[in-house]
Amino acid sequence: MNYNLDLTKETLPNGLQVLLVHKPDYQRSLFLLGAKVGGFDIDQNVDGTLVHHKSGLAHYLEHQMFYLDGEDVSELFAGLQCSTNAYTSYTETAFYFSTTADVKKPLKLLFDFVENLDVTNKTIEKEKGIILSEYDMYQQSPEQRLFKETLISLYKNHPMKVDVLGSKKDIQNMRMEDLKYFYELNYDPSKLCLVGITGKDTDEIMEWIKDCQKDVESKCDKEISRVFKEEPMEVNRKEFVDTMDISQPFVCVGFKMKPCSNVMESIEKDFAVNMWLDSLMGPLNPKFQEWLDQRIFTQFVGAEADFTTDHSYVLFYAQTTNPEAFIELVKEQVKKKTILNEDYQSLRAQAIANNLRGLNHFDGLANDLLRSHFENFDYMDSLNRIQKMSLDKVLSNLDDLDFSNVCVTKILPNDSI
Amino acid sequence: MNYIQTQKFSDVYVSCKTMMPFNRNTITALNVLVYMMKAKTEKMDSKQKLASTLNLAYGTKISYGLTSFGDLIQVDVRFQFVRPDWIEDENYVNKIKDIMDQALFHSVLDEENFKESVYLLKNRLLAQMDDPANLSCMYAFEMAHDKHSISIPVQGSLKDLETLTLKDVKQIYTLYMDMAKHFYICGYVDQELYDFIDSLDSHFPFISERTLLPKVETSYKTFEKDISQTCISQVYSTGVDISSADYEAELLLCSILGQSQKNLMFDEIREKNSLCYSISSSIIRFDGAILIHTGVNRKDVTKVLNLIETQMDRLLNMDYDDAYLEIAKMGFKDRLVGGLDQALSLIAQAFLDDLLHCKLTTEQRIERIMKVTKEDISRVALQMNLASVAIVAENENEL
Repeated sequence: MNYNLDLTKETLPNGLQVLLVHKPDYQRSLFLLGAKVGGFDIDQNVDGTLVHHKSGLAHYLEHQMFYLDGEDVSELFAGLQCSTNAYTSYTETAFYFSTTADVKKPLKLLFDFVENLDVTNKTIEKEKGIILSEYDMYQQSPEQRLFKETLISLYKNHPMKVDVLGSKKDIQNMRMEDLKYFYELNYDPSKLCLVGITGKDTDEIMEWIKDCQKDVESKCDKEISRVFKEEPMEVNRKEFVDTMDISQPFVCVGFKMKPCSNVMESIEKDFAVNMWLDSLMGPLNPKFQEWLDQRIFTQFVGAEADFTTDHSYVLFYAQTTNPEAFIELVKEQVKKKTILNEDYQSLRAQAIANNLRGLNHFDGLANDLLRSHFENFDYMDSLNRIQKMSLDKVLSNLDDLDFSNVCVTKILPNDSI
Repeated sequence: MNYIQTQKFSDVYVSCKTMMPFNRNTITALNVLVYMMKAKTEKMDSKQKLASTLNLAYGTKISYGLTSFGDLIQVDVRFQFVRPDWIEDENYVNKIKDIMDQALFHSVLDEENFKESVYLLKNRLLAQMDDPANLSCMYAFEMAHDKHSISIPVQGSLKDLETLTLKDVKQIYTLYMDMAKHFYICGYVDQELYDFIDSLDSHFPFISERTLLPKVETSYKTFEKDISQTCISQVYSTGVDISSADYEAELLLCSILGQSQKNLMFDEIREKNSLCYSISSSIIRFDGAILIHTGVNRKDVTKVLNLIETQMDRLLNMDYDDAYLEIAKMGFKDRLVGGLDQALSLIAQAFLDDLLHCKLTTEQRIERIMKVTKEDISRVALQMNLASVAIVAENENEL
């Protein structure tokens, strides 16, 4: 079985990339306009010059973008029967709307507010309290803190160690000129990508988009790329312990891995290692029941891998009354770099179904298509390649995993220290 | 049985709904029972076998949920599987039938499963108590009225878990098995699978039991924790039943207050005063209640509470721009039409229609929303009463 998607791609004269997916019979339309800029963009190479930005700038800008000619665009979208929102990840910022009504007016509004920056010192000051409140909200989740501190332990220089929201100090010191310069560099039409998923006629929409964008010119011809400082293979800190007002400890064992040499290698390795982790730390492993019987963890337990061309890691995490037993368990398990054929067949069948379901999930599909565009790979090809990956290929991806660079994070109840 | 036939989705969704009495003394046992049902069945007698069987049936998923509907609680067992006409395996439909039969009627209620389920539920409850947002909501419901079902925690309680026995769980299982089962299918199935599911359905009509949260004197309480942000939860009684003529006005009031794309609390408390990141209101439709929740700095609590009260007064006095009402209406219209693209929304709507014995088309629902006026909303606001205010605050020494 091959996955299929009715996908049309075009590059407009101003450099804007457009990807439209037709989903017949659906009432809903989702349009997402994204920029290849996120939490990682602290250091950028601009035409050969190194530029250092404040941390959290991409996220702060995302909050500030929601104005056009002094009006709040969320309200304008709502007046067009649309719900709207935005997100900033480590690598992208995206603005989107969803509606069951006409899409042309909201699409024009989406282009207008993303392609024009309208900030004032007043809006920038007002946003500080809101973003600091968002920061505090995440800070009181033990799971969020566990992962955040583990990434700080893994990385010495890589921006993975910096919160997408930025540091409190940088948020408090954010200025108009920081936002304007960052915007000018990263929000030119030639650097944006529009993804649309709709039940409406995509040919007609594509023609309308071309017409709508014909007078919008690209103003930035600078070559801009993300800069990653050299990162040692050793972890930044081997152990970190913090306390919170919680009843059960949380623990994460993180392993720093070598980044992949190209995108397709990273996609295959990411799939293979995550498949192995599912076989190891999930119910398919008969040991999983034994560990549960020994009460080594609760239902908050798992493992995940992230393999990319700039960073790679494997994390094992749990809520546990016995952090040391969990750490020992992980160290034993990573020695077993194999998957039984029956587990491979079972996980492969599950992956095929999940990928099929993913093609019906508007939000997830739009995010995946945006990322595939920015990372320069064919999304459908990647799904088909993963589906055809043999057990031997999966196993060969596990061979060179090196688990020698390890860190441990513990979030303990207040009274335990 | 209710079959929503459509070829739009890659999956088929089947939901088996059982309505049971929602009692404080059985809710913890019911939660443990759900954990036990999830763990294993007679044929899939280990986690390994269960996971493997589901994966090999093209990633079939089973999920279990408990949701309160006034004085009743719904046990919902949901199956999601790739539509059979897309799968070449001739035995696929039999595999799905077997999985459904096992999950619904062949649970293994042994001592070992019981102990593990108690352990898992205990840890989930402890984690929920650790979360200040969840804790403040739970306290607000508890304080709203101790004799009303709104005060019963759907997730069960730690105290009851301490004394729970396997016998208690078996008793609730017997009751569960005796109660009428109602099936919903959304997607595309062949006659064989349709007949199988239909044979499991009780074909009994639903009965809804609910009591509105009465007007009471407001309870206030502040709890302290070592946290970075203070959480505020408030429960208001509305006096509006889900079947009443004022229900759409209640929906729009809640939406204008803190749900819609343009809402009063967001505009005044977040945007104008920068006092929070998130603030929202949500309707507890079978209890005639509205929950308000936000996270703020402790020093701003009084200011935020006053601002919330001001927004309630504005709703009562119709002192807000017409755009709030128009946008809230459009939001509902969009959600109603958008629900036609989501299998679980289609099932949820069909279930509500059956429960309330009310059959309306999407157009009729939209029409009812569009008819609501500011006066209708003001009339609902006049009946509203603040039942409880629960604050889980940063320790004083954190300031």
